[in-house]
This record gives sequence, C-alpha cells and structure tokens, in this order.
Amino acid sequence: MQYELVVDQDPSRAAILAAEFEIPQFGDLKSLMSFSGDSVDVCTPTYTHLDIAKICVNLGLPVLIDKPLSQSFHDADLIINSFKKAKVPLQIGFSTRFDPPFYRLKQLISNGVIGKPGLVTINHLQGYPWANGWSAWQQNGKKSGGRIIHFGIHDLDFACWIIESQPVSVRSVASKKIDQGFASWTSYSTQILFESGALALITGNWDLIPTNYWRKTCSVIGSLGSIRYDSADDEISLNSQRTEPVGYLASIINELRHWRECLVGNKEAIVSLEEARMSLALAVGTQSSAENNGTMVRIEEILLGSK
Amino acid sequence: MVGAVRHAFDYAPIIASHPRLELVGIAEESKADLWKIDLAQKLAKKCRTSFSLVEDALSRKDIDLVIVTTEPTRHATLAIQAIQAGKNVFVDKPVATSIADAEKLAKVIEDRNLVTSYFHRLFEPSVERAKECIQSGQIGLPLTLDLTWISANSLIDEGGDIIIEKRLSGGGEIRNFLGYPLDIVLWLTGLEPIRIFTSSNSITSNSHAASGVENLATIVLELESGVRANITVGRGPNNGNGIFTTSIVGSHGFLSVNENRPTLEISSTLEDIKSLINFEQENFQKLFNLLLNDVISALDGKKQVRRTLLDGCKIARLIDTAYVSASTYQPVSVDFGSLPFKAV
Repeated sequence: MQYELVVDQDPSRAAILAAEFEIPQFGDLKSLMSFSGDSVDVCTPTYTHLDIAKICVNLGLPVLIDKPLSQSFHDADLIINSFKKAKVPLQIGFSTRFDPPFYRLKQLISNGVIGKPGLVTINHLQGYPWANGWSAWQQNGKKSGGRIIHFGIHDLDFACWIIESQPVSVRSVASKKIDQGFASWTSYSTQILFESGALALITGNWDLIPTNYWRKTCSVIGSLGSIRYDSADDEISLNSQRTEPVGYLASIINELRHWRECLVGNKEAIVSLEEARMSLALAVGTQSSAENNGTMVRIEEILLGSK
Repeated sequence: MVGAVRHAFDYAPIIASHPRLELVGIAEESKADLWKIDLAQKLAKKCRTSFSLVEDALSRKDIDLVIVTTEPTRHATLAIQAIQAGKNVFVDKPVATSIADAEKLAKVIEDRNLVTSYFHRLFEPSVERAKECIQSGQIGLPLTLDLTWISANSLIDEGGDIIIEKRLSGGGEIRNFLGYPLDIVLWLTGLEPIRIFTSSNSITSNSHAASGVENLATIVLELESGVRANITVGRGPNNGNGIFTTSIVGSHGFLSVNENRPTLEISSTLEDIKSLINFEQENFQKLFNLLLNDVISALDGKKQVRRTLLDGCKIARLIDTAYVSASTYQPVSVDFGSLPFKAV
C-alpha cells in the first residue's frame, strides 16, 4: 500500500506533506479527476466530507473517510446512499476498534470469555491540546459537530460494538467552556440503555491538565466474568511525556490494512455502514440530551428525525 | 451487638479482641424470626458471651455502645430504639432502607447528645491519600470524579437473601454498595448533591433477576459548582478481584487510584508533580478497627466521629433518590426535605 497523491484545498500544504512522506504527486481537489489509484483516504475536517465524498463517488473511487461521517444525519445518509447506489466501497474510520488492546477486548468478549455483557464503562481523559493551531476547527461545533460528536463518538461506537445490541436511549450531562469564541464541551457523562438490557456509562474529559495526558479505561461486566483495560497499564504511558496516545499509530495502520483487505480480498468490513450510522445517531442523541439538561433521548427518534 | 445477621460474624471477633471494648452480649428482638434468634444465640456461644432480648439489653446500665448488625431493613428501627434508650450507636450500612426510616432516625438523633456512626470506607488508605492530595491543592479544584465499585465476591458467601431479598435488604446492589462511593464523593469534594441519574439492570445475574433487584448500576451525580461524579456499582460474577477504582480530574491535575494494584497516581502541573504513591491495601479488620477507634475517641470526648448517623441518613436518602431515577429513567433532583442535615 502506498500513497500516490495528496490533495488539499491549499496545494502548498499538500506539497509539504508530499515532500515529507515522499508522495509522488500533490495538488488541489481537482487533481482527483486524473487520479488513477485504488482508493481515497479522506482525513479532512468533518464539514468538508460531503463535498469530497460526492467527487469520489462520481469518479467511482472507494473511500475510507474519517469519523464522524458528517455532523448531520441528513448529510450522512446522502453520502451512504450515494455510495450504495453506485456500488462503490465506503468505510468510516473508527480507529479505536483497531487499537490493539481494544480489538483484543472485543475478540475476548465475542469469544464468550465473560459471557453476556451487562455493563460497559469507558472513561476517556485527555488534555486540552488544541488551544490554537490548524486543528482548532475541532472546537467549532459548526465544523466538527462539537467534541462529543467529534471525539466522543469513538467510545460510543466502541460500546455499541462490544455490547452487540442496538442503543435504545441515552441521557447525558456535560460541561462547556468558551474558547476561541466557541462554547465547547469539555466533559460529558452519558448513560446508554441497550435493547438487550445492557447499560453503558461513557464519560469523556478534554480539559485535563497537564495537556499532554491521555488515558482511556474500559471495563465490561458480563454474566461469567469481567474484563478491564487501562491504557496507563502500558509502560509507555506511565510517567512518560507522551504526545500521542498508546496504540494510536497502531490503530491507524491496522485500519488501513483492514481497508486494503476489504478492497483486495473482499473481506467483510469491521465497521459496517449501518453501525457507523447508528454510532452517529448515538453521538447526536448524546449531544442533544446534554443540551437539554439530561433529558432522555430515544435513538429511534434521532433515526426517524433524519428522514 | 444487636442481631447476628450477615457481617455480625465478621465483626464480633474484632470487637471482642479490641483493647478498649468488651463484648457484653448478643441481642435479638423477641418478635424476630426464629432463624435470626438462632443465629444470635450461636454467635453469643461462639464469642462466649450472653444472649438476651433487645428489650432487656437496652435497659442495662452497663452498656456504652450498641452495634446494630441485623439485616438492612431493621437497621433504622433498632438504631432508633437504642438511641431512645440513651445508647451510643454504630450501625452496619445502609443505615436506613426507606425515606420514612431515614427521617425518623434523623429526628431521633437530633435532640440527643449521643455518639452515632455507621460502616463507611472513608478511613481506607486510598481515600485518606486522595483526600490529602485534594486538600493540599495538588490537583487544584476537583471537577469530575469517576468511581467504580464492582464486587466479585460470591453472593452466597456474603449472605445471599440478605442482599437480594427486598424484605430483608430493602433493594439490590444499589442499596448494598452505592453508599460507599457516595460517601467518598461527598467527603472528597465537600459539595452538596444536586441531581442524580441512575440506570440499573440484572441481566447478568439470575439470582438478582429472580428477586427483582439490580446487580449492576450506573449513577451520574451532579454536585454544586458544576462538579460531577460518575459512579458504577454492583456485583459481577464470582471470580477475580472485582474493580475498585477512583479517578479525579482537577483544575490543575489528575489523580487515580486502583485498589487492586494498589497505587495512587498523581499528575499535576503544580510543582511539577508526577508520581506514583503506593498505599496499604484494604484490610477489613483494620478498617473496622479504625471505625471503632473513631467511635471510641468520640466517646472519650476527644473528637467528633468522621460520619454520624445523620450523615448516614443523608446517604440513605440519596440512595432512595437513585432508585427513583432508575425506575423512571429520568434525572431526579436531590431533596433532603425536612431532614435536619448539615453540609457534609
């Protein structure tokens, strides 16, 4: 697998990336028209996904696109339906599923090691790394959907994946602070009820000091046992000044490998489009509940609302 | 000791061997079920002390302290009887299993100058350490707390029906365990609770499901000043160590405790702190002795107990509020009503 072309709305940025990673070609979005590669990896801000996806599907180019697919259900469905109709492969990048310890945790649960899952808790702690700089768009709800939809969706998706049941309803409370002119979520607590009767408590905090700290814990209680992962158990993450989370690079590499296997080997996608859509519904519901002071939101209403 | 149900057989030898205490008898109510009276007589025999009826025991002048160790649904009633008889009282948790009982108990305590307390975990080394870290400002002001209290102990070993039969327990594992993390949250933050969100289920435990009580629950507690506590409690399958963790995000740092390791990890920008502190692992005998010493110091007039039964009533009320939220699946505002509670 190799990169043939890097494109950006600002070609000079594409040129920098191309030089750094020895990618033969660079250009703006129009360069895609003459692209002869096998697939496109879209890692742009969320609000640009729809337009880029339209170009790719019209060119018949398979796409691996970063999560969330969109901030809105309407746009997410436009993208999904256009790829389905054109029979062009599309996959959404939920990289947490490919993070080795989390992937292993899913395998153990699927193999029945702890029996039927009854409760999942995920606690995500992260510093406040984007006070300035190119990625400040992630603070802006209009561009990213906000932190719950942009970051929280990883953990919400992972909970659904391991419980293997549809989320029914969600109740959330969250805290905001004003930064760079945006009222941005800094922490949230969400309780999810699943069709199977299982529960999840997903909590996220992006206001941590020191800012380079990153930690994630996940506990699952089942009918036969329990399982727990704490990223701090990894020697790398204890007492070191890491700038990247444990498993982050590994998860991206694994995700790309899997994408290749799906394209070349017709392997079934680990992240189905329906699951990605459901995770977006859960994230939108979580945010909606938080904005309404913890009022319960039914996921079905989110899904129906999109129609 | 009044009652010999559940933890009584664990407590009795510790009480009997305490240098400042003399176990003068085990008592039960005359109207109690025969099996409870039988248990009390057995415990009396085991501890080589006398068995008597509660009514007779409470009239004795030589008793300084009554320790209530019955099933949870009788805790409040017997504590009230002891207090009305002028006795100092220590009660196993939970101190009450209904709002009405908590209110009655609180009212009885209010007018009397007695030493009262209950079983809590605020003397555990990890909690003491976390409190020190917060009080010394090492992580700044607490913003968010995450506590997990999942026991892996066998339901049968811990008393079976006493935990899951509502008539005896007053509920499931929320009633049984939630008081511990709630107490820790209030103790560490010093803040008043505002709202509770609870979810619970029993899909992983046939025993709990058959009794109509929960074995797992998640609780989000909103406190004053926008501080939030996320709590998970329950009983998992009977294997492994259980999961007992606490993490606190503060305005200037972060601390986390894992009872299974056991370490307390601090990361803070203040004074460039980044360290791991080992602490002594929880030890039931030591913890119970610390609770007894706390009561004895108060009886000596040296200091007040860390937690009075009034505090226990407040926790009982919060647990009831958590149950209301679980049954309605809606957030419920905390209302202490007419209870004479002071800030914890």
